[in-house]
Amino acid sequence: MKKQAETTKRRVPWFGALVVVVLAATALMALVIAPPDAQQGNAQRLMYLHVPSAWVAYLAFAATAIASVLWLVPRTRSTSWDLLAGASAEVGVVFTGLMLVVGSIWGKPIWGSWWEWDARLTTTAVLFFLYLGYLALRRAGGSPDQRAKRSAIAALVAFVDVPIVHFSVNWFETLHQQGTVFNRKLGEAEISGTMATTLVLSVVAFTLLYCYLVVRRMELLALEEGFEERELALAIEERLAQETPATVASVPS
Amino acid sequence: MKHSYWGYVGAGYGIVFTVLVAYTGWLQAKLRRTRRSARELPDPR
Repeated sequence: MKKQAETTKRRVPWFGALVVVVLAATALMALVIAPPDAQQGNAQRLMYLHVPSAWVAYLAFAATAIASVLWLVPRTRSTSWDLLAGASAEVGVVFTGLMLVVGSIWGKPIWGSWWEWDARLTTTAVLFFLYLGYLALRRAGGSPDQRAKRSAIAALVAFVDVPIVHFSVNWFETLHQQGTVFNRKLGEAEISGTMATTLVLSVVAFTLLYCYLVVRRMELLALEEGFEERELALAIEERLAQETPATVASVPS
Repeated sequence: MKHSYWGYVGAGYGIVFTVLVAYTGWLQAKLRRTRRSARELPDPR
């Protein structure tokens, strides 16, 4: 186990360097090599941030839900699942926030508005606040087991909004466009060539970044948990040491 | 096309870059700080 942790420790910086290289290549493709859209012009370049952010948000919240189920099932219960759920949710909230901000910046030149109470936008905003609530709940007091249990239940409740966000564009035909790449109604994919390559690369880059951030966040959560336990053990030891002479003194000789 | 929209693109990429660098930096710094504190704390066992 210790050997495995050492190997992970050595590999993470290399993985971080790989993520930086892939992200730099994505930025080059998105801002220089990919052509501007025929209708939206350069504003469409925001798609290479908006779509991968949405993908990572879905991925992160799905990982949180799966890890929560694995924690709730007694046979698979492990602290690692709770740490993964917490780490993944936090990274998911960061990417959901970015998705909302970039979408808003993209909406201004194309829709003529920073924000609309459209089904996709509204359900995504709800998703963002649901997981902010989940993160707040993780910080509430109680034993590690109590915290893990209530967080796992909250994660499963919050995850109900993910399919609602995804299918909202099909259920309610409002301002936000429907899916493009995997939309059967469109027949052949409407995106092709350099634009498609750049989109795929951006999804890969953001997924790698998600993995890197989750590994780091899990490491930090594990350290913090161990640190708290040791602090508590030391405090108990100190208290016992203070109490022992008084107890001895009170015993009649 | 009347507008180039580069301003919006710059704002979007700038915000994403800043947030991701700030979050990663905060994570790395907190990790280093916690590792150091954990090493300095005596083991009760």
